[in-house]
Amino acid sequence: MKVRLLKEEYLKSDNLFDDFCNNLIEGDIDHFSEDEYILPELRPFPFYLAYKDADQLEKSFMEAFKIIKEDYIKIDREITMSQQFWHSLLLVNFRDYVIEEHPAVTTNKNRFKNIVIKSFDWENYIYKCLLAVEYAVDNLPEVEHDLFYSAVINNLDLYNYLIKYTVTRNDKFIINVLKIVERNNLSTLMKSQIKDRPDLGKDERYGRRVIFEFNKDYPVVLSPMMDIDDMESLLLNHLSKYKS
Amino acid sequence: MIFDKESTFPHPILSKFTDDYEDKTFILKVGVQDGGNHYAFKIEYKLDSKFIINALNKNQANLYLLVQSKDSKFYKLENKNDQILPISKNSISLNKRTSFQLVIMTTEILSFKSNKDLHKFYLKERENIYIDKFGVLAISNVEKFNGDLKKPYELFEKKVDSNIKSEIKIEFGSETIIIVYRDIEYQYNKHRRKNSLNNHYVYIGLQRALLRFLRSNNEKDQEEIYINGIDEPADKLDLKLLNLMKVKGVLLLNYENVDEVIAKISDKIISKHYYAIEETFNESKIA
Repeated sequence: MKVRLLKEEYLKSDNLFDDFCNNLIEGDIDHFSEDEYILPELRPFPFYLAYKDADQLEKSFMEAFKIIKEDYIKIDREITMSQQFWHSLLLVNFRDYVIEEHPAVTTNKNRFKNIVIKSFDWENYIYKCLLAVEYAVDNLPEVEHDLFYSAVINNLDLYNYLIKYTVTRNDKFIINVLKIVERNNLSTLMKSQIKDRPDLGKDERYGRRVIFEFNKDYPVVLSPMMDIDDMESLLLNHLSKYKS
Repeated sequence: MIFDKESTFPHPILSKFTDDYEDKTFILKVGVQDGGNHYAFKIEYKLDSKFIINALNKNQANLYLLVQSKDSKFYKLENKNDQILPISKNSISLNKRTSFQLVIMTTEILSFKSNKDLHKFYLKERENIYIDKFGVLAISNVEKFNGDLKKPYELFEKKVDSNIKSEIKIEFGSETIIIVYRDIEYQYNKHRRKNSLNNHYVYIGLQRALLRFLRSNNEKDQEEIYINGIDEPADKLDLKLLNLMKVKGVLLLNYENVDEVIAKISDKIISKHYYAIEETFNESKIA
């Protein structure tokens, strides 16, 4: 499958939205750079996962994880970590799928920006899913993958916070934190707001504060390299500072 | 996960930004070879502390390589020099900025009683110093692959676009500030001092770029940034600005001192502009 990369300034093009709606990107050489990738056949997958309904959320995440693992995970990171690649794929190769799943992107420019050309960082669902699959494949035996994926979905607020910062955006650390949270049944507590500490700020949650504590101690305490049991007692200790 | 900012530590650490050791040599050198579906990294280091080397030999401490590109990874290394570490290309990208650093971490509680490498300041104290398990002993320099900065020293580009809705527009490219002119006349190209005559646009461009830098790089919604205390920005223009500010000795950036920062990182933008105007004015009088 050939993925032609849009030219570097594609996000600044005034016609991007109109040309996408009118299916004019693919035929217009002005939109493209000289670079292209020849890759094995790639299937589209749920790439915008802002679902309120828990079942729908889980189903869509799981489908994304499955297809990423089967089709994308072996591709060089130089490609899969590139915003230009994903936007080219969504705007050109997967245009029909994108419109079928999210019809609003052709009528509402803001929806288009938010869904199709969303920045490729920790807030982007493709980025979130890609890291999760990579971490599972690199670190866990096959039988544990689904358990890890469920832990990600159950603890999305915490996972988002973990992948937001460079210190904690680390495979082994994230896997261990989520395992500890799951085996201690802390999921609900970690995502709930800290109510009795107005000094901490508006939307502080137990999970975020615990990660903040790990962050604060780095690199004096090299927590990402810890064994899970040592990390567990440290995590529970951090948590106890906020639980009155 | 790479650590490269000034900081204070609760216990002695061997690093270039602490004075806890008499000899603070801990230097990492990374070479890379393309191995098809993986990169082979050649890791060499120089570490002079006998105490820490001994701790490594006795497995009281481990040596880790930290790699930071899109995310952070660490690899436990053998306790020997000149080793080759293969990393699969689906786990690391080198076209984006990638940094490497070595850290040495204790595997058990470690007494500094016999640590003769410490600065003499600690001579009397050292027998009371214990480092906890998973504590950091040493941090090396950061090695970088900066391959994708196309023009490391160029901050500005000029463009002409007759379709913009204003006479002039400041835009940001992937690693430059772009001054877009609606009319090429506005570039003063006919005049001898055309570069200095453009300085008012340069000033505005720098101001806009620094305000953007301030917005995108402040942690936890602070209104100011301590230049030596922030992580390296992913944005390449911001990285250039950061390096420039570091080189020019800027310590703090906030909404109040933007003009002072511009004065420090640039070379007399306004007075050069003034002299260029004066000269142009006088020339036209003579003519």
